[in-house]
Amino acid sequence: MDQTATVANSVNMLRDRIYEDILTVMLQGLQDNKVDAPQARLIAKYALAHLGKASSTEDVMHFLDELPAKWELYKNMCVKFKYEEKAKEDVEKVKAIQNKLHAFIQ
Amino acid sequence: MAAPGLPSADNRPVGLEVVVGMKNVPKATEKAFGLNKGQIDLMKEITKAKAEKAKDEDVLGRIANGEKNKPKYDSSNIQQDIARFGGGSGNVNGEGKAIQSPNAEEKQINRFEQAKKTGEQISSVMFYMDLLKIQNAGGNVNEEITRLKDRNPSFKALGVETLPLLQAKAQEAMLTDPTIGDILGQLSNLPPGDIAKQKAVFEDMVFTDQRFRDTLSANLHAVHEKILKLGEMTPEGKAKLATDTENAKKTLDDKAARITDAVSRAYKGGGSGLPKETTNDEVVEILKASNNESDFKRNLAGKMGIVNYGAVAEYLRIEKELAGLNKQLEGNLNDTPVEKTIERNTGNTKTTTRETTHKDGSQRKMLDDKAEAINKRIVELKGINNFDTDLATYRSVSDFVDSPGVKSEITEGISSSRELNTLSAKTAPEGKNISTNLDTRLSREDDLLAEMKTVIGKSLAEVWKKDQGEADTLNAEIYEKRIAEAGSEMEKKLIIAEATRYVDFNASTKETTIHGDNIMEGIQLLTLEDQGVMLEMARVMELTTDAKVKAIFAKTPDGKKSIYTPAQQIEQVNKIFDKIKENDKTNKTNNFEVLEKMMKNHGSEYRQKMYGSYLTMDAYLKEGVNGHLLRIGRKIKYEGSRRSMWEMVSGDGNKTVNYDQLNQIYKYCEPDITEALEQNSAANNFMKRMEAKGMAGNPGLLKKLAWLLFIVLGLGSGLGAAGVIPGLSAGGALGAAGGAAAAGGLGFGALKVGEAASGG
Repeated sequence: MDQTATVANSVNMLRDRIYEDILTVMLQGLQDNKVDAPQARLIAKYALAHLGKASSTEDVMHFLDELPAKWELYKNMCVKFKYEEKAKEDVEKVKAIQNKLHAFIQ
Repeated sequence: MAAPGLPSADNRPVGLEVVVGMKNVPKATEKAFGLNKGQIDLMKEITKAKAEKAKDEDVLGRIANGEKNKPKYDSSNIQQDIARFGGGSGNVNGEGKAIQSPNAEEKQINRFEQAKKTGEQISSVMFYMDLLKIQNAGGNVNEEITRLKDRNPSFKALGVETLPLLQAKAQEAMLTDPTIGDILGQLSNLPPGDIAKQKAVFEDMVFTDQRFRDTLSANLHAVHEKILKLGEMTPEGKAKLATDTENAKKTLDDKAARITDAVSRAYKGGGSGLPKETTNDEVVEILKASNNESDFKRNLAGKMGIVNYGAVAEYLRIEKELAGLNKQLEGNLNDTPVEKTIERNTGNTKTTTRETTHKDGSQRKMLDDKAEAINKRIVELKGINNFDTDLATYRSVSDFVDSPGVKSEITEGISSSRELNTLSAKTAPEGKNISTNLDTRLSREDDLLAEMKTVIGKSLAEVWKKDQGEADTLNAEIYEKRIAEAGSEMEKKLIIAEATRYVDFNASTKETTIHGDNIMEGIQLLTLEDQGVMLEMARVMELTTDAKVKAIFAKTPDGKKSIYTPAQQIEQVNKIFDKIKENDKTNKTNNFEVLEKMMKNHGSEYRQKMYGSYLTMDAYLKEGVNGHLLRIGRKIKYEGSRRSMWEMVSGDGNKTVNYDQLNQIYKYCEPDITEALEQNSAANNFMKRMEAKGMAGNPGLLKKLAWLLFIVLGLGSGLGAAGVIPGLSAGGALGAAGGAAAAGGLGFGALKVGEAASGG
């Protein structure tokens, strides 16, 4: 699989997870009366229009910044995703350094 | 934060999940939870979608569009559903295939077979569409077929190994639906017998439309729910029925075996024994077909090779009769005297004497005649080919059946067979005795069968109807936008007239009105070609009056001839234009200049509108196929004289226009048809596909098709488009939203407005 396909695959997987959580938070928001039906429709429209077009991790991160700015109930969810992504990036960075070290030692 | 005055999440009563699971939530309950109906409905929607493991992105899409989650039919259920037909006596076998009870009555088998045929036809369409989607997305169809064969009994039951075989089944299923076959067949203007081309239309228009697949699934799910309500026997009832049936079958088999042995012995014994042996199955068959020993005798005789059974039976009957007659006649030969006491009146005295009389001669003669007739008939019967052999066979069969050891076996065998019949009828829902409610059950099954048989057509119609509404609404919105953006009051009047004067769609009532009289006045003006179009525009822009326009086409007092010849009519038009110019000079206005500009910019589209509306009206009034297509998904009313086109257009001078004029108008407007079709990418693609499907060799047919498209798409009439031929949009790259945009693209100046609509 080439680099572009890997990135696309990774973005798609991330997007699917975010869609899932958007629905879960929406359900909770409806239950807690923090969001009404018209707002829920707007959220769904917004998510599909913006996250649906995301083609890179940066695009997804930007969406995760924008969503809680519009609807606060998504704040925790977005922070969680951003934290996960950051942690993943860090792991990858560490792994890259380890690989370089390994190559240097050999 | 909770809405003011409503309980917060923390002090709300527990059990919200119960509320979400309720079909109807009472207002009081909503209030108790501090939620409104919209919120609860949405929660139900999300909860259900999650439970069904629907794709989250799709669920968000439905929420965004305000669509409710349509229940879907699980295609693997089809065999189980089929098995419920036929009084509930059926079942699915180890392979998941529906099977009917071997002892079911004919009427039960009939329903079961109908359900099997229809159910498998529907499932072939669903499976084919699913596989086609995989193929079009570049997936591995053969791998999916293998998977389905392993895991889906309903697919396996279809017995297809390849996509082309499934395609053939799906196309056949479409052809059996009278609604779809009729509409698509007519739409493509193909003769009903041209099945190959009709199938090509299915491929282009129906099988790739995912919305149709979803609607079919939802509608089938609704039928499935009703099928489940038919009920089935309780497990205990089924078990008892199975035991009783098995016992009766065992007895029948046992008796049949004994009778078969007896037949064999009678055959091998020689003498007057039977001329043939029978198999066990043959004896079972005879027992099942016999109500009594007499039936058995006749049926066995048939198996023994008797050809002239009727003659033999008649012979035996009259032979017996003859014996009786002969006995009587023998007695009469002795002429035994009979003494009788006879009273006679002779004058005033009555005398009584005893006399001896003899048998009446006439009666003897009658007996003689009868005996003679019987003897004659016996000679005739004996003359029949193989009669003696058949008679001998029958006698041996009769002796065999009446023999003490065999007779009881036959009696018991027939009794077991009849018991099996009775048991087969005990297949009522909930194990009740069938005799009281089988017919009720079968009647309910008939209703469901009718639903199943039309579910494909119904689903397609629903998809089209939705498209139609969207297309018409969009067209109305486009006109509204154009009116708002009109550069001048006169342009505004022109667009309003275009939108409302001929064929008018009311976006709020969703009703289309065809203004017949206005359209026919327009048609009269089209006989004057550009001059007529310009005059019509002058009229709607209120630069001249109705009276002046109508005066041009005035008739002689007898109503048979126009006052003016066409050349004089043109002169009259020019006079009206001159008057407008004169008024401009007087009033220091530039109305004629504006009119000319409008003619230049909008003349072509206005002409199309006038002609397109005429074709629409024609289709509506004729109530033929085109009229039917126009009506799909629309509320249409007609205003104006309800004269048929035959009355309005004929060779008579007193009609609105004559045939020559109509042909002239057609020639004048034909470029519009071509242009309109070319401008509409969906229609254009459709024409190209039709050409590719082998219609290129028939330019006449293509021309007709172009006409048909022009009419049913409402090109120029202001009617929407995509809904009439959904495949045009849905089958192409446009998709549902694109279909609506394409509809917008059908109007005049539509490309730019259509783009704006789709871009928004």
